[in-house]
Amino acid sequence: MTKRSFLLHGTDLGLLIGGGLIILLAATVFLAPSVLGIDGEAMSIDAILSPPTADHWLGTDQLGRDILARTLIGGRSTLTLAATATLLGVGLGALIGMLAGYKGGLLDELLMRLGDAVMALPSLILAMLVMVAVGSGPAAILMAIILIFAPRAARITRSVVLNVVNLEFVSAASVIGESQASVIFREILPNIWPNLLVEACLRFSYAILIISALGYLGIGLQPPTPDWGLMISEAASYVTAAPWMLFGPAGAIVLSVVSVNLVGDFLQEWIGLRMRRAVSHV
Amino acid sequence: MSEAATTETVLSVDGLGITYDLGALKIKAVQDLSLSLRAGEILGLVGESGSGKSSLGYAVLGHLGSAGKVSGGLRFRGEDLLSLSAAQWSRLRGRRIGMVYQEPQTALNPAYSVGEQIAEGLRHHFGLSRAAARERAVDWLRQVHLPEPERIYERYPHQLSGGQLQRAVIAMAFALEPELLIMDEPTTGLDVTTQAVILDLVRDLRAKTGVAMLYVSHDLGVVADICDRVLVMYRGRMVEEGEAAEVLRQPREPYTQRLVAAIPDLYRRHSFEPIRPEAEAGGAEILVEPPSERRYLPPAATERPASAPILDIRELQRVYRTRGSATVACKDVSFDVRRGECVALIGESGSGKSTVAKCVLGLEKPDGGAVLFDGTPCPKGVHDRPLSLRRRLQIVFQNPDGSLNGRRTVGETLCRPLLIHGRARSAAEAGVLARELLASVDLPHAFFERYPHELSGGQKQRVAIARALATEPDLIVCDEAVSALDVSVQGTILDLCRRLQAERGLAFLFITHDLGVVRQIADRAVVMLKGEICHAGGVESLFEDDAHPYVKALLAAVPGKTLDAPPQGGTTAQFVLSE
Repeated sequence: MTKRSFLLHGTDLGLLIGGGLIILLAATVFLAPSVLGIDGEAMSIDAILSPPTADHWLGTDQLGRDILARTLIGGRSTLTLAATATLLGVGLGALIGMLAGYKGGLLDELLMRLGDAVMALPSLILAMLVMVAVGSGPAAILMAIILIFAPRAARITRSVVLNVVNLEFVSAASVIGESQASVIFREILPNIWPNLLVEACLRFSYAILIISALGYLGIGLQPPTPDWGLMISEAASYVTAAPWMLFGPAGAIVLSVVSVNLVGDFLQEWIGLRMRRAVSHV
Repeated sequence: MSEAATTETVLSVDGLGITYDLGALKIKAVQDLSLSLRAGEILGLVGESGSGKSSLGYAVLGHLGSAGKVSGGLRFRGEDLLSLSAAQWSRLRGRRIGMVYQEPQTALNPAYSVGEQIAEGLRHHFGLSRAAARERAVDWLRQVHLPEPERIYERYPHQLSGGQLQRAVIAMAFALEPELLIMDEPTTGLDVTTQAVILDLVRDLRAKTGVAMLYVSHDLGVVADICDRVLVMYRGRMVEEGEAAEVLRQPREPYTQRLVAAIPDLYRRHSFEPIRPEAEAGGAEILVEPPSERRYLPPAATERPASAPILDIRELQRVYRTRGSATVACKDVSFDVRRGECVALIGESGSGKSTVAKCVLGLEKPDGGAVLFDGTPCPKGVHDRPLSLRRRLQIVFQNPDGSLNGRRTVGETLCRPLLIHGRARSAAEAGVLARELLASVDLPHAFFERYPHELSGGQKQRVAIARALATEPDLIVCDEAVSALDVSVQGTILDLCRRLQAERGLAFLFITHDLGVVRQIADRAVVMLKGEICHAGGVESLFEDDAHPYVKALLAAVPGKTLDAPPQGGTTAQFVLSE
């Protein structure tokens, strides 16, 4: 059923475009620099602030570094960091949410109120707090994003778990002797993972934005690391003299965020369809 | 009843065919069906799930949707229903052709008061003023015997009980003075006593208004009680048609005979025969074989077996507390189940019977009292209980759709308990045992690889029973385990339970609201009313003169008593029906 519905109703242009773009982007970002031997930090004195040319497709910056090369290399750290942070953040949140939804009672109350407290802070402020406390660098960014994502993922997971937990097969699993961990991971998780997938997709694009924002504010990755946010912040100073400096990193951010969101939207629709089918089935 | 019927034809259906066109899939829901309905007549449409009875109801209301293709003739008072425009439909539907569906909750808008919704229809169709519409709506609420109709008028749907809501929906339908009323399982899901009241009401209103009714139901008892004529459907075709009493008492067609034979007799235990022997889901044709003579079984043992109780419930109490209010779900409930015995726990919705079941299994923690299994007190929560105890106590739930994990194959579902309890040491060994389990509930081995959504309701219920058997339990709690099934499937499941009881010495705690089922399967019965036990004793004691008044009321409410009279002087105790 589930596999077929992908094909039958999945002639969705959004998925095709979004998925294609993500794959294309990931392939270029991760393969092209090493295959083509691109160096993001090579400077050329004779081409400082050069507009796009045949040698430098997206132009160069104030130090004569190639924008395209830096955008590609910068994509590596941004995309890797975003993916890791999303996986860990949503994963941790899912664990907490499943525990809270399944156990209920005091533990549920405690975990959710704790999450509320964290969510009360605007995410960028929270991230800045973490960076101030732990210091900058990829590990700090990772921690900040996990802290931002986990409470939201926990809340969403909990609400989906509550729909499943009272179904009779969950009770039946307990009765036949499954441990609580088995009930959670073997009975509940397979019924909610599509929702987690959508959440992860939407969060992934948000992670890219947070990383870039931190870079732009100068508290994320530090120069001379090529980083999309950092590049935009540098480009901002030259925006009148060399506007092309913006196009590379800004375009990369827009492209990745939009394509991931397209896939996320498709998944959301697909899940809705699946749920409707599950209800109307037979 | 038929004196109320005049000869005027309200609805005529001629060679009707309904096909659902789902792209690659074309489903013939109704084929070559003809019927006519006169004013003041109630025609019962009877069939099992998938027989096409509801499709016919939808077609008459023009509610089939774009996928439903209709052929043949469908006329209402001579007007061709198949060529009506949307505007013509809106003048007809609700006004001249009314409808009452199952689940009254979904028929009413939760944002408006019950009375406003009735008045709205009156204003729209009859052009009444606000005050006049209100007055007439209140009058209709009174006519359906709702207490304090002025106050009910102001109530919102969630503030009424299921029975009250259905009465309100019936008032809404009758208020527009329809000439034809489609009733699709209007009492399914209601308690038996409530159902009896609603059926009385419907009869009453029919006599008053002379409306013609198409009454769709799977319950032969209900149909026998309320309908003048009955039309039996099977797989989209008409099997038999005639006077209700005649068709149901002396069915001519084998299929109808088998359908009637599958109704659990209220008075005597008897064997069940499968209506559609193998595959319920397969493309079986209508059986031509009539059922064999019904075999009556000796009555249940009224003497308790001498053995010690396997399950002993003592003064069980459970209170649901929400902020500020407390609801007592069950109070001072004490009874026991002996080895190899089947005890029926009887009650209507809200009686606390399911709470008792959950407390027994540890799925809910009681606030007081104790559950003793084989003499030892059980910890309250299921996960606090040792595996050795959990193995011996199993459950089968009501809803076969919810009780199996849709993401796992039947085989995976059955292998788990085998592996958990060490009955199988490897997956291969578990597979062998699981196939044996399938065989023990009369399912083919091929089901091992199937997913729940590929199974019919009865098949899913068999898998649920097989899963419960996998741990080799001593007691199985069946929580309304046959209530959601077609009568034919219900019979075979009951038969299976009886066989397991006899062959394996399994004890059952059988929770149900259906007294016919109780008669068929139980040795003893415990009746719950509002959280407390009001009657306990052998099954025969339910039918005795000095039974609790509530037990008598339950018995009186059982539909279809016109079908089978208690046997004279037979093996059962004599009793008089208090009607």
